[in-house]
Amino acid sequence: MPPCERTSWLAPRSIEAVAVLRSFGIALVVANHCHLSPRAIGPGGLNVLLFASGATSARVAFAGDSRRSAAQFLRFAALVAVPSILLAAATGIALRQFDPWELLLVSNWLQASRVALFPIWYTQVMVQIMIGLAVLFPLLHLTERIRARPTATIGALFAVALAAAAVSKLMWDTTELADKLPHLVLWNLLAGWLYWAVMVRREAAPTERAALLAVLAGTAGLMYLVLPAVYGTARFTWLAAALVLTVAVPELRLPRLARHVLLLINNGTFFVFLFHYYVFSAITNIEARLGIGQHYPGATALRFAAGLVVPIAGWVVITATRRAWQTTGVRETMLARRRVVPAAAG
Amino acid sequence: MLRQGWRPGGSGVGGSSPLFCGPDERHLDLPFLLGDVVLTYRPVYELGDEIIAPWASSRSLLFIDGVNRPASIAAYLAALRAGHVVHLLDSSKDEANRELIRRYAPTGVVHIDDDGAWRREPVTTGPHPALHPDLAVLLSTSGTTGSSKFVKLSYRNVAANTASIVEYLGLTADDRSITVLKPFYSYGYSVINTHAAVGGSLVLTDLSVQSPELWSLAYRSGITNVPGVPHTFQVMRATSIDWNRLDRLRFLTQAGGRMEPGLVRHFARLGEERGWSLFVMYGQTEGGPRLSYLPPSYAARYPESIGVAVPGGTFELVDDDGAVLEGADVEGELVYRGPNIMVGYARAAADLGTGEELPALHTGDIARRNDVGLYVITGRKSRFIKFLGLRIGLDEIESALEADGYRAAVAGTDEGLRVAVESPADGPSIGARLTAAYGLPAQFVSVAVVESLPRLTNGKVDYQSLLTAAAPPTRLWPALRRFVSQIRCEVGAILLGRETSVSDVPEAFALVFPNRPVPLDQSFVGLGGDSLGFVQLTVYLEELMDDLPADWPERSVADLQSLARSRHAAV
Repeated sequence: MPPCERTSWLAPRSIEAVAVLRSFGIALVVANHCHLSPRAIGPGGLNVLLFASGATSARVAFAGDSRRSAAQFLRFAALVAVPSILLAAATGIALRQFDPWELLLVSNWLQASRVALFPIWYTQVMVQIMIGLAVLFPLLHLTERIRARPTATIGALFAVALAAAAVSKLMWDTTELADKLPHLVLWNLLAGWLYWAVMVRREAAPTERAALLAVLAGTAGLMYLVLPAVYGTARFTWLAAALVLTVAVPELRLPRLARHVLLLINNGTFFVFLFHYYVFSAITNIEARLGIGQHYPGATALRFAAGLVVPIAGWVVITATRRAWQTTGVRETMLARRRVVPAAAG
Repeated sequence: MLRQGWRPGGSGVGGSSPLFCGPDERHLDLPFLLGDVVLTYRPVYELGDEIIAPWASSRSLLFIDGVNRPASIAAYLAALRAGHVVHLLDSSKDEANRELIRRYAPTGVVHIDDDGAWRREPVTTGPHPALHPDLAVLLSTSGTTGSSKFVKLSYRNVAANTASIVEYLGLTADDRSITVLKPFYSYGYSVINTHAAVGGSLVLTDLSVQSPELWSLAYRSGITNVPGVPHTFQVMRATSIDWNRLDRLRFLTQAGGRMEPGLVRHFARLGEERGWSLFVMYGQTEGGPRLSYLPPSYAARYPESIGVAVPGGTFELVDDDGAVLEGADVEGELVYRGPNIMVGYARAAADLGTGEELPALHTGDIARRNDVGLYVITGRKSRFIKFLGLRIGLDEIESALEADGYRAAVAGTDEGLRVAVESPADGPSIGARLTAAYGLPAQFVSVAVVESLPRLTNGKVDYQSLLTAAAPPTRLWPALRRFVSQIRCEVGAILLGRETSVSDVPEAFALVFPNRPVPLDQSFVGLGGDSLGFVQLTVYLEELMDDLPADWPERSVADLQSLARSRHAAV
């Protein structure tokens, strides 16, 4: 490997606001789930993640035709679904509790409770949205339309998603399902697409940026007023702040250290999402064995820190192992031994 | 007392250039170098003559510290006028400079201290190398083994390229630039030449473009142009520049590697609004250095283009057999013809006595000509790998093996070399020689002796198959130890954010798309990348380049690789 290019940890480096948002979103999720400060924080992290996911997925989803987009959506659904199902199943085995609807990723339409320790509703909603998009895109040739008129087409989809959320909620009270349904949050994802269409795909004029800012902030406010049960104060605050700040400051200059920490969290997002509750559970077990209870000073902060750090450490080790596997030739060596390649090598 | 100008021999084309003809009487009292004080051409020329006075009696090889100080520029221009052969040293590299002085035995060395004071370094009395009569300037470029080699430029080369640049930029004595580039870079050096040739002026500073002081200096100095590499523009975009205060600004020039189209468009449009132009330029040190420019009126519409050949030069595209390719959007190697093409390389003092007439410069870049006749670089032809900071030319190794009588094919990644040699051959002995020659660990060179080299249906060597089929090491225990040790390294690299974790773009792609080939002409989107891979690859690529373009998912691996390399280039 080439020698390191040493730069100061304080040297300013740029980072996309969407990457910051992703890190922030998952940190919010962990903070909310460990009750770090229920009044000040509350829910909303996964809505922020949906927006970030939309802004990111748009960059790769619309490059070919609608069939390719559909394949992309299904592939993404599988990438999220498979580990989630495996972990949920493992949890079910450990707890001797099974909910087949949960493992089929549809239990969010039936009940708000869950067997899996992690918030599987997010996986369910994501997978359902992706499957829905995979069906709709080829039928309506949406990729071709998006490529021809990105902002107009995505704007129209966004408007439809908003209307679907509002009308559905007004006609069908889904409070007992905790409102964790795809059509109620689809617009969060599409807001990310809209951000891509205006801000990322090409350089936005100041007027376009201002218009996007007004649309997204206005939408968040409107949804808060129309659907206060779904978008409670915390959820509204975080989502609106995320939307506005990302448009206002699409790229940040941060000290390299801060950027690096944010990128580590950003990369480990899915691991944190899957495993943070398991870390909480492990801490609770340890506390029980030590007989110290859960209410000692710093107990919540410990859960918050560990809920982030331990899964990220897991991501680091797995990623490092993957890289080493690919770069050191150990795989080839094993295969070569199995095949007994004639030794013509020097 | 001003010295009489010297007229070079050889083709004589350079003889008409103001750079070599002695002072232009009309320029003598114009401002030239603006630093702590404003110096007109007259004192600068006098200072230069004084510095090089000891070598007046015979044509000499002079090494001069290339710094943004009056003495450096004065000595350089005086040496050119006096007909000496000049090399501008990167004064931050003491050890490398000592090696250069030992290798080339210059007649004189001029050092410039930080405070601008100059001193002549005593050098040995000889023997000094013979100098070809056409030779004027030696520019540094890095060789495939990491050692420096010189590009030799004749008077004709320097004069022709200077005149071309002056013509397309429309430079006049009213123009004033600012030294954001070092003079020993070919780009910085050409800024000095072009402004000196027309009687223009230079604001001398070592301030970086990030520094607000640089822009304060620019505001009050009345500059008419700013040269920059892509990084300069990235910084300029992020910096609060008060363009209203650059009220004499006529244009910005960009070279030193491919600039992201979004950034080109940004500055092109900004210029349209503000009444100045953006010149996107392309070059190679071997071309002295400028080969093309993009006319400003095309910059916003064709930001990915390198434009057209500089005045006096022509471009053509050729296929692998050297046949000229016609028509729009056909890809081929970009070949430049023009009077600014170097007269060869120098790797040793003896090379300074020779000069080659090169009919064409094969750039090694793959390009296409678009429908309006502008050229667009799409990839890189030459094959290199990088190990421990050394660029290793695979073709060069092949040639070396062929020179030794072997029929060989060499492929590789930054993880090591894969060599296939047709039998009969002694694989271990070839491996040992290569590891010694390039300073590589033995486990990074794998040599397979084969009956015949793997070839594609068109008869060309199949390097991809060579990469995948080359015999791997077969001892499991060392491989496992290396594996565990590499895991530790990778964990450290990830946690500490070391830029070593991914050494190039193909490796980054390989990490995100494990267990499948990643052709260089494929993009992230073309490979079926998803949003999870997007995040991971974004991080890897940002380790390799600060200015990752927004459309990177649709760019080919080769394109991104050349972009990453351009970060360090300064043509």
